[in-house]
Amino acid sequence: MSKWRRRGVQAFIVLLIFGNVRSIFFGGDDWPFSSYSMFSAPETPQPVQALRVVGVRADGTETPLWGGCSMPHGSYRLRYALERAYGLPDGPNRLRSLFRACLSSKQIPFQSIRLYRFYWKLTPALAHDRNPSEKELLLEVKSS
Amino acid sequence: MIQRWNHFWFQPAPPSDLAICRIVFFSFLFLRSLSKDGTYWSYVDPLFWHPVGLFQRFHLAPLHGDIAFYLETVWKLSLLTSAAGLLTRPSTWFACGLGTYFLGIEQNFGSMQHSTALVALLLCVFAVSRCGDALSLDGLFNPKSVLERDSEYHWPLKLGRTLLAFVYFGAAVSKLRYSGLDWALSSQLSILLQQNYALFGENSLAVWLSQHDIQCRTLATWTLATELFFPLALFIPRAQLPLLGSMVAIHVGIDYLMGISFRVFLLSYVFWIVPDVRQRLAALRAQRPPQIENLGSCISPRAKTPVPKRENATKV
Repeated sequence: MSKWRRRGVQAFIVLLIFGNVRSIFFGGDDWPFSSYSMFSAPETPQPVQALRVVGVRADGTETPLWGGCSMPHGSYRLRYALERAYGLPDGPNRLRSLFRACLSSKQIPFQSIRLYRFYWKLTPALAHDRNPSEKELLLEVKSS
Repeated sequence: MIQRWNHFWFQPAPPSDLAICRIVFFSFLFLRSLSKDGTYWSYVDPLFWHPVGLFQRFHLAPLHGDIAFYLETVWKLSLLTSAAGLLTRPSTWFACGLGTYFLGIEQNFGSMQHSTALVALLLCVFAVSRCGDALSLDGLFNPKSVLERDSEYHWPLKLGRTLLAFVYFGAAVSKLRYSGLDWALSSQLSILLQQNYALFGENSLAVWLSQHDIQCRTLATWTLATELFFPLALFIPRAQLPLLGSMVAIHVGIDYLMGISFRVFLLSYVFWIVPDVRQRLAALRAQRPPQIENLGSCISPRAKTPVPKRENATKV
């Protein structure tokens, strides 16, 4: 390995180490560097809550949507993305427009799309019944 | 200090270890990429766009769907040619540049997936390294380019290992920073298991386990301790097997109980496994008794025949 090549490699190693150390000890998440803080925040046994998008069929049955309709896909990702989008000043209106466009494009076989906030009580009974203990309808868009 | 630094990163090593790592890493990533659609994110509404890290720093935005499709095809091809060692240098650079986009783009919609961050960094390591010298099509066409034993083939392995150690150590530091020792000694894991089951419902065993406080605290303490002490595996060879084994068990547990897959993450384990297996095999070969030629001799041939020298293995 030549002298200059070694210096270049050393600079590269130092850069990656510095990026990691900075993120872990000072910076938080700076993709692709990260503090890897998954599940590290203290949790309290409060009812857990999450926003959920469901499609409603003609017979009234509700089907959860985990993607599609120009939304991010994946249960984890969608949960946080919806929370953030709904919290924006014009978030609810923009979500309404999004669902309206989705229904009118006939991408999905639903009569309407609803956005709920689900609440679950953390009890041993959860193992047998995963239905939310409470749900709050935040918005609904019906196909015209 | 400088000597120690150089000794840690720049020991001579055979080119085959890094080459095997390259083949395994890029082959797996290529197969994984076949089931992924990087163009999906081009059609997600800008309402959900929340740039992070590199994307925020360099004002990167989702590509147009058609462009994303062509570039994703180039990326997948570059993964394949990197695995085969064909035009390795440009291939690994393309794999790194485009991979950073396609692995990173989804992180800007909602939540960040930590496992792909490590893969992106490892792509950079391969791009800078001389991973295509051995066991490659390039090596076949130009065999003179392969060096016998050189530090060129050692530092990428060490850096891959160090980056993985940072991940686990960072996770431990975050737990201690935000929750302190309570993360392990309180009912934190029990609550996490219940919350996760309520939200995503992967496995009802998680709820059963969450009712057993001592078991939860033991598992949490084990996880925190393994993560915190994982960097020791970089310096103490004897600590490697227990720490790596322990981490794999933790990953399997998280995958089974919480449905959070770290399979792509386990790719980085090649940097630990390949050199270790090669060294063990070399050690076994060195210990094997040589073939007995003089059957008439009453003296043990083992005593007469010089024991072959153990390969100048790199201690890691």
